[in-house]
Parts: sequence; C-alpha cells; structure tokens
Amino acid sequence: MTTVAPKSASRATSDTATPVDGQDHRRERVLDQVRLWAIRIAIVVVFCSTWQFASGRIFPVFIVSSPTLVLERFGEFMQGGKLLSDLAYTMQACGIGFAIGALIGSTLGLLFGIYESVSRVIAPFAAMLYSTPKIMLSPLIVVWVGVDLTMKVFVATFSCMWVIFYNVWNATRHIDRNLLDQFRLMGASQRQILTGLYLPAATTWLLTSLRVAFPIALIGAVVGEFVASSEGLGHLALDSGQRYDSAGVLVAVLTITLTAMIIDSVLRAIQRKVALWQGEGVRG
Amino acid sequence: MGDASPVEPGTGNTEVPVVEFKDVTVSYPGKGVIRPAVVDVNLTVSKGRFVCVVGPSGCGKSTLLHVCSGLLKVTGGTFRYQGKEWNKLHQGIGYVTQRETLLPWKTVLGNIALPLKLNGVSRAERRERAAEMAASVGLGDWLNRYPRELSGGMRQRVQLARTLVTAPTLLLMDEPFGALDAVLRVRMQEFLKSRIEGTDLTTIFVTHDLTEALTIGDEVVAMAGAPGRIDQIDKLEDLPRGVSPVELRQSPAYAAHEARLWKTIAGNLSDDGVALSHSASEHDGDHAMTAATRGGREIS
Repeated sequence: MTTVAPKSASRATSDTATPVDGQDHRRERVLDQVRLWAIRIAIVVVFCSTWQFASGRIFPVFIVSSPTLVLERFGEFMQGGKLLSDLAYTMQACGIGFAIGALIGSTLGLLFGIYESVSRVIAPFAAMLYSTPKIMLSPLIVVWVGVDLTMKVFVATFSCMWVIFYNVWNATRHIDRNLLDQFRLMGASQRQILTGLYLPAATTWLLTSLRVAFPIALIGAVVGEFVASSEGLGHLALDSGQRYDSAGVLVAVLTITLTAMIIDSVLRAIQRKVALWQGEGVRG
Repeated sequence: MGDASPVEPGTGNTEVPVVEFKDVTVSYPGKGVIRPAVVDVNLTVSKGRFVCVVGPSGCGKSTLLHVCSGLLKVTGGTFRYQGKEWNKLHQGIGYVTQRETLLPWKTVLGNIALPLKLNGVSRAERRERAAEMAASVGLGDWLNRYPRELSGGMRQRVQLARTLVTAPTLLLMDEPFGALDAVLRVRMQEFLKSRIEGTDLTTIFVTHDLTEALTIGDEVVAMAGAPGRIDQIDKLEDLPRGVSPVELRQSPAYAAHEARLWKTIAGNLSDDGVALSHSASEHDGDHAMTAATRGGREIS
C-alpha cells in the first residue's frame, strides 16, 4: 500500500492510494490508444477498398467516383492553388460569422439571464427566431446586403448565434442562488457579480455551445456560397456537381469536414482545460 | 440574550443588542394566498453570544437567518441589527450555509481572499490576510489547491475562513455541518468553538441536531410549528464548559436541558411530521438512550 502525500493527492480524502504501477498504467493506456486507432484505420481501409472495388463494377463511376479519383482531383485542385483559396474564402466567412455570432449570442444570453424582466418580455420572440429555419432567409439576406462576403458572414452569424445565446442564457439564469447571495452579502457590485460570478460560471456552457455552433456557422457560410458566390468550397462543390464531377464535390466536402474536425478538436482541448479548471469532467 | 429586552438580566448590561426581533412576522407570497413563515418572533441576541436555533424542518429557522442577513425583509413587527432598522443588505455579516458556496475555479487562497477583493483590499494585503486565515484554520499548506481537491471538512473550513477573514460582527450559520459524518461534525464543532471563544463575534447557528446545539451554544432557541414561532429559549450557563463532549453529555445539567428542549420540540410534532435529528447516539454510545429514543419515537 502506497501512502500518498497531500501534494500528489488528487483529492484530500484519499489518504491512501490504490497500488498502481505508473509505468504499467501508462503502457496500458498507450496500448489501448494503439488498438483504438488500428480499428479506426482498418474501418477506413475496408471502406475505401470496398468503394474502389464497387466503383465502375457495381455503380457507375460518375455517380460514386472512387478513392483514387478523389485523390487525383485533390492533387489537381491543390496544384492550381484553387482548393486553398476556396478554403480560405469559406473559412473567412465562417470565422467572422462565428466570432460575431459568439459575441452577440453570449452577450444577449448574459443580459437575458441577469435581467429576468427583460427575459420575460423577449423570451417568446427569441424562441420564434430560434425556431425559424435560418437558411431559408438567405435569399432575403441577399436582398439586404448583396452577394459578396458580407452575405455569407451574415448567414453564418445568424445561423450560429442562437445556440450560443440559449446555452449562455440557461447557464446564467440557473446560477446557484446561494452563490449569488454570498456575493451580495460580501458587498459585490453588479459589475463584480458579472465578472466574478456570471462570466466564469457560464464559461463551460459557452465552450460547449461554441463546439456546437462552429459547424452550424460553417453550414451557414457554405449555404451562403450555394445561394450566390464565385468563390469558396460551397461554390466549388456546386460547380463540380453541375459538371457531374463527383470527385470534385467529394474533395470540397472532405476538405470542409476535415477542417471542421480540426477546429472542433482545438475547441475540445480548450473545453477540457476549462472543465478541469472548474472541477468538472468532459466527455466526447 | 434570549428575551425581548436589550438589557441583559442581572448584568446591568445596556449595550445595544446585535440582533433584535420584536413581534416579527415574515410571509411569503403563494398562489393566491400569503403564507406566513414565522409569526410573533421575539428574540434578542447580545454581542458575543452563541445562539443555536433548533426545530423541525419548515419551522422557519433559515428564515430568521435570512432576515438577519438582510436578504429577506420582515412583513410585520420590527427587526433591528445593531440597533438600527435596515432597508438593504446588512454590513459586517458572515453567512455560512450547509450548501457549499466555494467558487470551483478559485484556489483556497482565492476563495478566502474573495470578500477582501470585492471590497477593494489591495492584492498584497488580501493575500497576506487570506494566507493567515487559511493557516489559522489548518489549511496553510493547501493555499493553491482547488475545492475539488479538498475533503468535505476542509471545504467547510475554507468557507468558515472566507467568512471570518472580514472580521464580521455577526456570524450566521445554517446547518453548516449537516452534510458531514458524525466524527467530522464533532471535530468541526470543536474547531468552531475554539475559533470563536474569546472574541466578540456574535453567532446564530441553525441546526437540526439538539446534541450539537447543546454542545456548542450559549443558549438554545427552540422553534416549532408552521408557521414557525419561538417556543422556548434555554440558557445553558449551568452546563460544564471546557470538558470533553462525552463528559458534557454525561452531566445532569445536560440531561435536564435535553429533556426540556426535546419535550418542547417533540410535543409540537405531528405523528407524520418531520422530526428533529438527534445524533447523540452517533457521538456517544454510552449516552445513546436519548430523550427521543426513550420515548420510542423514530427520529430522522
């Protein structure tokens, strides 16, 4: 039985630790990860092999394309710099829209949560806007702001801000009343309650909502490109589809998917850090 | 003291009481009706006293603390804090609740220093004072730990340290040790007494546990009924002090107080009512035959 000193104890209640060999534990974790990735890679290999085999034999190539054709088209798009330029355009619209959406959504969420009277008046309108299929408003947004980058930013913002708004609103209005009372009894001003209690308490919810909101912003930006654009991955997919170039469509889709996954993993890493800081755990 | 007069009988003490309830009623608005929580409360607490409030669930014990803190206004009668009627949150009050109110994103030091920070104390000074307070509650080596890394008793000590660091005039405690196990609860009671003894700090301590009240209080206020009212105020001057909890509970004076208070409280309970927690049996096996168990009533 190993006695654990307070400095290394994860929790003060555990005066004694279970006998765990650190090296064995690490090796087990590495092996577990290797097994996990081996299975994942095997699934991809089996899928691509089946796809390659079926392409041209079971299904027409122009409908399903094939892994080799997709790689070929990827190489072509990369050579001309088209893929990166389209990716940059889409990410620009998505990024700006996401940032504005996060700012508006979290600010409104905080205000609604803190000022219950405002919340009671506005809540039905917020619910109505949340339920509106935002993408259907795209043609109207074209009328309002034109067809350039602003339109895509607008669609991305309007699509993603509601998720953030509702999460922050929920976090703020469900804040522990005892904590709020403690702050008030300690003589905290409204500003101190906002910065010292509401903001930190809403951080976990905000990060969760950002992870959900980012793909929505991306969809908004791509839909904006579908409506009217001469650049971006949405335009690339649409243009390739119109030329029956399934491989081109898939390159655009895969590029956008991989980008979204990378950004999600960054947000998840931040979320884990914050969750640890707040004494919570994160799954997924 | 536990009467309506600001003059402490027999002492000639004319000092302004810290807390004074006079014919106080507090009501909560319900669905179409006004529900009184406490009625006709008369209680005076002088400086430096340790008053325990006992009674079954729903009798308005916590309501009294909320009034003391200023979080709740009286709907009838008069409440005075340090001789004045207040219309806002009262100053110089420390409030420890059963429910943990530490900020999980702040360390022990950050949590203890929080009230100082909110009141504009400089960073260097608040760190020094918070560190001193942490050391005085036995957490000097845990300054940079987060609440999740502490045990239940340690977290309660941090809450207590955070409350005491501002040197309050009045300490309100609402079942602070209710969630702790029996042994830890006794340790925390002893710890609290040692921190408060010899100071001018006035304390109102709400508990379900009659043993706890008799062990640490200078007097015990027994509440009953719904709406709640004060049924009895028992001064504990005749109890032996400076003895171990076991010795205290074996004294005849203790048994007399216990029996008297229990009779008051139990007499006001309906058969299906919520009963008073009575944990003497947990603390002292030899003295387990309490008034409650002797009466054959199951207690929670």
